[in-house]
Amino acid sequence: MDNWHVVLLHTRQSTLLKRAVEVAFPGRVTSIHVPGLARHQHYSVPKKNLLNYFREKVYDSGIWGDRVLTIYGDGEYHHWTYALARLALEKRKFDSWTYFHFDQHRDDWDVRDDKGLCPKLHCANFVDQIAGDFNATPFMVGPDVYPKKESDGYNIDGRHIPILSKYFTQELQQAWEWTNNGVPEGYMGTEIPSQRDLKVTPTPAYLTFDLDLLSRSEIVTNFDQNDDMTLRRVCQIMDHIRPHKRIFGADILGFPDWNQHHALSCLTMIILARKIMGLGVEKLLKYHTYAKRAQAGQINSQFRGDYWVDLENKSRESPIEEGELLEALS
Amino acid sequence: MSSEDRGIVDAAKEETLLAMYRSVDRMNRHMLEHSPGKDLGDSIISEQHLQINLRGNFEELQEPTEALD
Repeated sequence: MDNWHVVLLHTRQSTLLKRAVEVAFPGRVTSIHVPGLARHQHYSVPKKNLLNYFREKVYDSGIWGDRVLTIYGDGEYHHWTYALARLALEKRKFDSWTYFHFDQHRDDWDVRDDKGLCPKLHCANFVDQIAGDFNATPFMVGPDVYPKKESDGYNIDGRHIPILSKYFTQELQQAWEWTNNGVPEGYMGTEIPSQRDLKVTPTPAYLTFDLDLLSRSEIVTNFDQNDDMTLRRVCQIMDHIRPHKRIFGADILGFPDWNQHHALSCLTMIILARKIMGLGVEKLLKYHTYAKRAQAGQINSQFRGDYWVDLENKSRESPIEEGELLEALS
Repeated sequence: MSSEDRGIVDAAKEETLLAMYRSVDRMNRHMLEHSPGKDLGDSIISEQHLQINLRGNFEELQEPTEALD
């Protein structure tokens, strides 16, 4: 865990998240101001341009020799992970590796050409391209399940790539000839990955974490979220994955830096980052529970006619202040 | 706003609109192929959220800002 480095890509000069990350991981953080990755740009980019941009503006050979956890902004730009995974592989020679996709959405959905390739990448089509271009085995850790699509796998440039999923396990995929994408009943989206699937996939692993996977009680994002998935549940899932995998890089995104005043969201991200890096989280999880209780009180105060917090509101107030957060992290 | 700045904003608006059209196309495909077991597929809802975000981005570009004026 000593060789982890945190890279924060931000498009605003000073944000709460930047201050919180620097307090939480002293001496390990490199903040890179990348205004070119701001909103209104790069919704859809050719792969080559994306890689060139990251090589010029973001890649630093001194940092990427270590294991790097990149924290960046908006979920609309999840396709940057394509470039980040490539940079993480730069100095490593793996025949194959596992790509863990923690996300409320699958991001492998768009029109492809005859070979299964996409000329341009955007936030909904990059997962199978990572698998095809960088020889990865995709492992879906999210609620979106498509039985037929998953049992068919990807077909890219004549190669068949299996899709693993924490709910729709290989055993389940092979148990039946799935002819449509109907999801079996009783599915919550918070299941633990199968040990068998974790054993058969390659040991080196890259992990991408889109924060909209988490419940609205944990974090504010600008996408739909799964209210059944708490941070503690994610920690349990990570505890099951870690014994089978060696994580060589990771990224976290989905908390846009144009909307960063929510201290509880920052706390959630820091705990998640610590969990990915293999650091202890128990003390911070207790503080997180305290903050969520305070938030529950604010939600309930609607019945007393006081000021109240609505989880639908994307600019809602946080139950904890910045000062409290920084003190807890230091 | 200088003409150069206006050109950048117009390009960003075009990019946003094209992203919106692509999102609507994808949403329609999800409508045709999404999981029948659910009321609305997660992916359909996510495309709707993306469209709300893109609309917000577009409206922000419509407003004159200090940096651009």
